[in-house]
Amino acid sequence: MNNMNLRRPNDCGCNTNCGNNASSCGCNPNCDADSSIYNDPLKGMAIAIGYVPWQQWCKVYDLCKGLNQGTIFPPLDLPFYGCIPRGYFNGRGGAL
Amino acid sequence: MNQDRNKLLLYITQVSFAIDDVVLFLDTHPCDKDALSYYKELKKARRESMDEYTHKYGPLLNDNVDNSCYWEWVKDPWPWE
Repeated sequence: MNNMNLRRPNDCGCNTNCGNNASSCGCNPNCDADSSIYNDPLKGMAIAIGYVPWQQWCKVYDLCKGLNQGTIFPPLDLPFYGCIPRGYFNGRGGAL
Repeated sequence: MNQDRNKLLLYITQVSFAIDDVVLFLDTHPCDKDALSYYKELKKARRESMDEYTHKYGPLLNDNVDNSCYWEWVKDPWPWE
Protein backbone atom coordinates (compact mmCIF):
# COMPACT_ATOMS: atom_id res chain seq x y z
CA MET A 1 0.00 0.00 0.00
CA ASN A 2 2.94 2.39 0.62
CA ASN A 3 3.71 3.00 -3.03
CA MET A 4 0.50 4.99 -3.40
CA ASN A 5 2.40 8.10 -2.38
CA LEU A 6 4.86 7.60 -5.23
CA ARG A 7 2.08 8.00 -7.77
CA ARG A 8 0.54 11.04 -6.11
CA PRO A 9 3.15 12.61 -3.83
CA ASN A 10 0.84 15.08 -2.22
CA ASP A 11 -2.17 12.98 -1.40
CA CYS A 12 -2.77 9.47 -0.34
CA GLY A 13 -4.57 8.60 -3.55
CA CYS A 14 -7.98 8.57 -1.96
CA ASN A 15 -9.37 11.17 -4.41
CA THR A 16 -11.00 13.07 -1.58
CA ASN A 17 -8.47 15.56 -0.30
CA CYS A 18 -8.60 14.38 3.23
CA GLY A 19 -5.61 16.64 3.86
CA ASN A 20 -3.29 13.85 4.82
CA ASN A 21 0.42 14.53 4.66
CA ALA A 22 2.51 12.63 2.15
CA SER A 23 4.84 11.02 4.60
CA SER A 24 2.81 7.94 5.32
CA CYS A 25 0.18 6.16 3.42
CA GLY A 26 -2.06 6.05 6.48
CA CYS A 27 -5.14 8.00 5.49
CA ASN A 28 -7.12 10.06 7.88
CA PRO A 29 -9.26 7.65 10.06
CA ASN A 30 -12.52 9.01 8.67
CA CYS A 31 -11.32 8.68 5.09
CA ASP A 32 -13.76 6.39 3.23
CA ALA A 33 -11.64 5.62 0.18
CA ASP A 34 -11.99 2.01 -0.98
CA SER A 35 -8.25 1.56 -0.83
CA SER A 36 -7.86 3.10 2.61
CA ILE A 37 -6.46 0.85 5.31
CA TYR A 38 -9.25 2.20 7.57
CA ASN A 39 -11.89 0.71 5.30
CA ASP A 40 -10.57 -2.82 4.79
CA PRO A 41 -12.92 -5.65 5.86
CA LEU A 42 -10.05 -8.12 5.38
CA LYS A 43 -7.76 -6.18 7.72
CA GLY A 44 -5.31 -8.45 9.54
CA MET A 45 -5.57 -11.28 7.02
CA ALA A 46 -2.59 -12.47 5.00
CA ILE A 47 -2.12 -10.29 1.92
CA ALA A 48 -1.80 -11.51 -1.69
CA ILE A 49 -4.05 -14.52 -1.08
CA GLY A 50 -7.51 -14.92 -2.65
CA TYR A 51 -10.44 -15.37 -0.27
CA VAL A 52 -13.80 -16.91 -1.18
CA PRO A 53 -16.51 -16.24 1.40
CA TRP A 54 -18.35 -19.33 2.62
CA GLN A 55 -21.62 -19.87 0.72
CA GLN A 56 -24.77 -19.70 2.86
CA TRP A 57 -28.05 -21.44 2.04
CA CYS A 58 -30.60 -19.04 0.60
CA LYS A 59 -33.97 -19.00 -1.09
CA VAL A 60 -33.38 -20.98 -4.28
CA TYR A 61 -34.90 -20.44 -7.72
CA ASP A 62 -37.97 -22.45 -8.69
CA LEU A 63 -37.18 -25.54 -10.76
CA CYS A 64 -37.86 -23.97 -14.15
CA LYS A 65 -35.72 -20.86 -13.54
CA GLY A 66 -32.92 -22.92 -11.96
CA LEU A 67 -32.50 -25.00 -15.10
CA ASN A 68 -32.67 -21.96 -17.38
CA GLN A 69 -30.20 -19.92 -15.38
CA GLY A 70 -27.84 -22.85 -14.90
CA THR A 71 -27.96 -22.59 -11.09
CA ILE A 72 -30.59 -22.76 -8.37
CA PHE A 73 -28.66 -20.26 -6.24
CA PRO A 74 -29.40 -16.57 -7.05
CA PRO A 75 -26.03 -15.41 -5.65
CA LEU A 76 -24.25 -17.64 -8.19
CA ASP A 77 -26.40 -16.44 -11.08
CA LEU A 78 -23.88 -13.95 -12.44
CA PRO A 79 -23.66 -12.27 -15.86
CA PHE A 80 -21.06 -13.90 -18.12
CA TYR A 81 -18.89 -11.46 -20.07
CA GLY A 82 -17.62 -13.89 -22.73
CA CYS A 83 -16.50 -11.02 -24.85
CA ILE A 84 -15.77 -7.47 -23.67
CA PRO A 85 -17.37 -4.89 -26.01
CA ARG A 86 -14.85 -2.60 -27.75
CA GLY A 87 -14.41 0.54 -25.70
CA TYR A 88 -15.89 -1.10 -22.57
CA PHE A 89 -12.91 0.03 -20.54
CA ASN A 90 -12.98 3.62 -21.81
CA GLY A 91 -13.02 5.75 -18.72
CA ARG A 92 -12.47 2.67 -16.58
CA GLY A 93 -8.69 2.90 -16.84
CA GLY A 94 -8.42 -0.02 -19.26
CA ALA A 95 -6.79 -0.20 -22.68
CA LEU A 96 -9.29 -2.36 -24.61
CA MET B 1 -43.65 -37.22 -28.62
CA ASN B 2 -46.86 -35.94 -27.19
CA GLN B 3 -47.20 -32.75 -25.23
CA ASP B 4 -47.76 -34.37 -21.86
CA ARG B 5 -44.77 -36.61 -22.29
CA ASN B 6 -42.62 -33.61 -23.15
CA LYS B 7 -43.89 -31.68 -20.17
CA LEU B 8 -43.17 -34.57 -17.81
CA LEU B 9 -39.71 -35.08 -19.29
CA LEU B 10 -38.92 -31.37 -18.88
CA TYR B 11 -40.05 -31.53 -15.26
CA ILE B 12 -37.80 -34.54 -14.64
CA THR B 13 -34.92 -32.62 -16.23
CA GLN B 14 -35.57 -29.59 -14.06
CA VAL B 15 -35.85 -31.54 -10.82
CA SER B 16 -32.79 -33.62 -11.69
CA PHE B 17 -30.80 -30.43 -12.31
CA ALA B 18 -31.91 -28.96 -8.99
CA ILE B 19 -30.84 -32.17 -7.23
CA ASP B 20 -27.40 -31.98 -8.83
CA ASP B 21 -27.01 -28.41 -7.63
CA VAL B 22 -28.17 -29.05 -4.07
CA VAL B 23 -25.88 -32.10 -3.93
CA LEU B 24 -22.94 -29.86 -4.82
CA PHE B 25 -23.94 -27.56 -1.96
CA LEU B 26 -24.37 -30.48 0.47
CA ASP B 27 -20.92 -31.80 -0.43
CA THR B 28 -19.48 -28.73 1.31
CA HIS B 29 -22.30 -28.15 3.81
CA PRO B 30 -23.21 -31.67 5.01
CA CYS B 31 -25.09 -30.47 8.10
CA ASP B 32 -27.12 -27.69 6.49
CA LYS B 33 -30.73 -28.40 7.54
CA ASP B 34 -32.38 -26.27 4.88
CA ALA B 35 -30.38 -27.91 2.12
CA LEU B 36 -31.13 -31.38 3.49
CA SER B 37 -34.85 -30.73 3.64
CA TYR B 38 -34.80 -29.28 0.11
CA TYR B 39 -32.90 -32.37 -1.08
CA LYS B 40 -35.51 -34.63 0.55
CA GLU B 41 -38.31 -32.74 -1.18
CA LEU B 42 -36.59 -32.95 -4.57
CA LYS B 43 -35.76 -36.63 -4.19
CA LYS B 44 -39.42 -37.44 -3.58
CA ALA B 45 -40.55 -35.30 -6.52
CA ARG B 46 -38.03 -36.91 -8.84
CA ARG B 47 -38.91 -40.43 -7.75
CA GLU B 48 -42.64 -39.79 -8.28
CA SER B 49 -42.20 -38.17 -11.68
CA MET B 50 -39.87 -40.93 -12.84
CA ASP B 51 -42.33 -43.60 -11.73
CA GLU B 52 -45.12 -41.75 -13.51
CA TYR B 53 -43.07 -41.50 -16.68
CA THR B 54 -42.12 -45.16 -16.55
CA HIS B 55 -45.71 -46.16 -15.98
CA LYS B 56 -47.04 -44.02 -18.85
CA TYR B 57 -44.27 -44.07 -21.44
CA GLY B 58 -41.81 -46.75 -20.48
CA PRO B 59 -38.45 -46.86 -18.71
CA LEU B 60 -36.18 -43.80 -18.80
CA LEU B 61 -33.23 -45.54 -17.22
CA ASN B 62 -32.20 -49.14 -17.60
CA ASP B 63 -33.02 -49.81 -13.95
CA ASN B 64 -36.60 -48.62 -14.46
CA VAL B 65 -37.67 -51.74 -16.34
CA ASP B 66 -40.51 -53.30 -14.30
CA ASN B 67 -41.79 -55.84 -16.80
CA SER B 68 -40.30 -59.20 -15.77
CA CYS B 69 -41.24 -61.17 -18.87
CA TYR B 70 -40.14 -58.76 -21.56
CA TRP B 71 -37.11 -56.52 -21.69
CA GLU B 72 -39.07 -53.34 -22.33
CA TRP B 73 -35.91 -51.34 -22.69
CA VAL B 74 -35.68 -52.31 -26.37
CA LYS B 75 -39.22 -51.21 -27.15
CA ASP B 76 -38.38 -47.52 -27.18
CA PRO B 77 -36.70 -46.07 -30.30
CA TRP B 78 -32.90 -46.01 -30.02
CA PRO B 79 -31.44 -42.51 -29.56
CA TRP B 80 -30.53 -42.29 -33.23
CA GLU B 81 -33.95 -43.43 -34.42
